Amino acid sequence: MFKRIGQIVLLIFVCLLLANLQFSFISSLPGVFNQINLGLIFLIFILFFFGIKTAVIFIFIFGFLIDSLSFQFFGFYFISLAGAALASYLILKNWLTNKSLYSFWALFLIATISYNLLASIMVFMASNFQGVPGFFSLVFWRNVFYQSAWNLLAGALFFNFLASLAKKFKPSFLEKNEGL
Amino acid sequence: MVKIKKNNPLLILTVVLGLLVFLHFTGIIRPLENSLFFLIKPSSQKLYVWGTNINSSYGEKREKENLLLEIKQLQEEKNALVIKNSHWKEVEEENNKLRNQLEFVSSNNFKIVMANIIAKEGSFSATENSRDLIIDKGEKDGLYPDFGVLSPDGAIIGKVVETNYISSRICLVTSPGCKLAASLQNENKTKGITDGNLGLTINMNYIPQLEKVSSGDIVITSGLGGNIPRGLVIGKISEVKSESNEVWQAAIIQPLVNLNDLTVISVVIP
Repeated sequence: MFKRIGQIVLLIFVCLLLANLQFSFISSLPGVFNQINLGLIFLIFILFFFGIKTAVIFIFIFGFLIDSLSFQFFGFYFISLAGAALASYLILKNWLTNKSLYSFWALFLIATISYNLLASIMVFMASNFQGVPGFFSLVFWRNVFYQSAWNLLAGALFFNFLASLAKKFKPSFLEKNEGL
Repeated sequence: MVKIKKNNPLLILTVVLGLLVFLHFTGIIRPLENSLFFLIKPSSQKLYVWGTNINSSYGEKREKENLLLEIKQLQEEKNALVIKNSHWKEVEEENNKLRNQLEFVSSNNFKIVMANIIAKEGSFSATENSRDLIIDKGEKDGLYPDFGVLSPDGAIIGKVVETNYISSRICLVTSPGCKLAASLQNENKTKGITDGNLGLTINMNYIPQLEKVSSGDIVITSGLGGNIPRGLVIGKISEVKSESNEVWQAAIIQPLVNLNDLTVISVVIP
């Protein structure tokens, strides 16, 4: 029980740090650097290594923090992250058979695309369906490309670093015992 | 029949989201949101300044090649300005004397609220390719939408588009959809509307075809917007687009300040 509370307190602290970094630091960086999406990177990392339950807690905390600070409508980042986590989880559960770097990369790609698609659809809906959704523009796909590139890079670094740290994080075959 | 598990993460997510949205819109969690903002505000300011410094040094590296050429042009401009300045000094002195005689109350007597930029926020829409600024002052400091925003040099850089109790969102003059009522500093005081262009330059549209507009003309706010006073510098015209078969002509304006380097701004309260 205390261990679980400790884990959640640690997660709150990590989320606060990540939200602050994403909101103020990453957003002020030049060019392609401001496309780094720390929330998404950590979400996939948590989903892949710690399971859906921890990922859901991460979405609660990180989503709430970013939604409180942002000027998008409340729930925007929460829904985007939840959508990305759901799409990635379904792929992880139904299609992927092992925990390798390639699986990790596949999840990052799915999460990045679903996150951005969902975000652009919500912005389109929030603007009373004026114009066309963001995913019809070249800028949108350019941003998705940069985000994917950053996420794949972060994925490779994370995966190799963690695999060298503990046995739990080494490539392995998946056991299908957790479901929605 | 579909059986839903009690611990279904999707169900939990939906319920919690619904609850949070309800609590947010009823204002019950506002104290929590406000304290969160005040908790991260000091570190946000520092992080934003670090990011902006990296942004500036990145930009400087790319701009060095153009600097030599620009220095030459600026020296020529400076010589012309020295001559003009001596003339304006005399005019200003005369103006002050006349104002004193008439006991004229200065029209530039507006209140200013200083604010720190704490973040930039992008848009996911198809039409906008821009990043708005988020500042640490909001309704509690007297800020409301459509108030003008100035750089430390005094040039207008955008306007407030959205506010909440503790913070505000600002669109930059170069952002598409960020419109300002403008006027040229020429003989006819030509009026038009400025709108951002791809987050890089500013377009001035709806200039009547018969008006004489030329490169180098200074563009200022016209004061017709309501909440933004007249006479704040928007930028300098770099190109004029005029087709003889069109009713209106347009101009491209170059802002006078680097909008990527800003960390502190001031909001004009009318």
